[in-house]
Amino acid sequence: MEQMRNVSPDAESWALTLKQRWWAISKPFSIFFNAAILLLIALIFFLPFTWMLVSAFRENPQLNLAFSNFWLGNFVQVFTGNTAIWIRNSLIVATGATVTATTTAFLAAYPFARFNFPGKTLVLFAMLLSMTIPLGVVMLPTFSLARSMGLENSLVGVFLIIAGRQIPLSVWVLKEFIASVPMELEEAAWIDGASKMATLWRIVFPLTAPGIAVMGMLTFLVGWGDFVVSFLLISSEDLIPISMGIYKTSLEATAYGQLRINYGVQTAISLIYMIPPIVLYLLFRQHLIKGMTAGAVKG
Amino acid sequence: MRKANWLLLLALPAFVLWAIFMVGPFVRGILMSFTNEALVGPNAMNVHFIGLENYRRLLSDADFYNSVKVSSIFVFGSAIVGQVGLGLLLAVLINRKRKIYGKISWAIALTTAIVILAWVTPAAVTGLTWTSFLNKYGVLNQIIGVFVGSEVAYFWLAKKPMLSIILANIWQGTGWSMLLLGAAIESVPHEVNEAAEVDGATSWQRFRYITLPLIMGPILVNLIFITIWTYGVFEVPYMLTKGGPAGKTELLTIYGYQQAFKYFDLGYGSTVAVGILVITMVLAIIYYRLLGRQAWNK
Repeated sequence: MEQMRNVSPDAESWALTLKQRWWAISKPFSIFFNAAILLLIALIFFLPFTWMLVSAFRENPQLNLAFSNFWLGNFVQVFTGNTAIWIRNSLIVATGATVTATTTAFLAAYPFARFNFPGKTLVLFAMLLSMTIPLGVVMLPTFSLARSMGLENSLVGVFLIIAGRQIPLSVWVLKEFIASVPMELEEAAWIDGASKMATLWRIVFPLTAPGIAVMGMLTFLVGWGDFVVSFLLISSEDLIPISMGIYKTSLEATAYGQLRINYGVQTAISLIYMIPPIVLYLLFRQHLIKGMTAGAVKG
Repeated sequence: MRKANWLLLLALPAFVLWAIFMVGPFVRGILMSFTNEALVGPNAMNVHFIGLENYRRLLSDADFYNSVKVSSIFVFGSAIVGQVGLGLLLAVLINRKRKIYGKISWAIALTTAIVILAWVTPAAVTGLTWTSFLNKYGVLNQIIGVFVGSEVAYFWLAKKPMLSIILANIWQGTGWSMLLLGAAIESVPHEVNEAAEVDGATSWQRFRYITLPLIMGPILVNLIFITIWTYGVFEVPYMLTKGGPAGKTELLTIYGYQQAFKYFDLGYGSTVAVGILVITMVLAIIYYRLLGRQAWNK
């Protein structure tokens, strides 16, 4: 018995030191191995960007990668000529979609948050379900519908379709925001004689402003990045947004690289085009991860 | 909660927009699949229902089956192996609770930033990025040229079209899976892992028998959504190859699009789209049955 009692802690600590020793030896390898995999993935993901990053800063670049003729003029030229029109059109689409979707979704979220009415659950569920249908699957009827409504070749048509597709998510999120505003605040204002619309505007709206900002920016991003809807609807040169303009450049790149296009300007506008999504990601990174964690825990 | 009143009208504008532009195309698409609607020509003037004609044609259309095959390979390669596989690997590597996190946090920050950058890149820029990268004179050939010591002028988009669109889609989509699965892994209680470590479980065993079963739910949800999205992907593959050469990358979405805008047959194009819906629905149910039961039994 005596022996046993002595042996077992010894054996345990011996096993522990062995494990610690093994970790001491293997730790540098583990660090090296993990860092190497990470850096390899980073390098592979970065390579496709290189041509664009370099060419935007060259005078009259070609399709090969070369570090010469450093020039910032491309970024000046972007704001003149065709590319300026693309920027204007993208701004119209993104702003139009944002204003339309966010305003209507905020107004709709209020009754969904505050009242019970027949069909409420059904509509909310249908909205959720409709979000799972990718745009790529409903391209043709979307085009056919727009044509029959006279929205073909119109930026208003483009942003209305984008706004309509953003409504389910906006209503769902803003509904949660409004539900978190204490009912008592509104009731107190009513007693003081404020109308229902006035409390909505003066109490609910300011308290849900962060949520409205998030959904507004998200919709802006969707409108800004849109390619498919414009591609289906727009045919006039002076109505194409940035995405379609860049697409036409990449077509030229596929066809063995012709010289008709100034790749310097095209790559410069591509870089400018990427700024809004990057800024938005940096601003809302924490919200996004939090939302994902909440979703992940719920499974 | 109060009783409904006139304030319900506030929901009307959003409801109408949603009903017209989101529900509308869905319903219209199903209706269109039973018609001879055309873009131009005599049928454009005389649209009428033709019963199951389009569906009969679909089931005996060799090009449709080719597109089912192409789309399925694309989904398997880019969504399942690429985005979920690579996304899971990255999610494990960037986990902040690992013992070596402090030592490799710089590499994690760099990799995360670049993978996220690819994810937030708008589709049109992804198209330009990859067409230029895979071009005859592009960066990829230049790099290979350095290794083999002579000039390489391989036209990837024409010679390896499927691989090209799969790689571009992995590149674009992995960031999402990395973030989602990363969040799931970090929500696994640390105590469970620590207890297992004391009991002598290796890091692989801890991943296989503790982390993996606990994050099976998020993986399943992610898998279902990515499969549905990827069957619906149109823009980047279209930008890269337009479905060619010779139908090798003709995804279902591209096939449907071309039925409408190349052959002007909107009705038949819509039937192809309904085909995509049916396929993704069946797959979602299969996933749920296969993985769902496993995930919730553990």
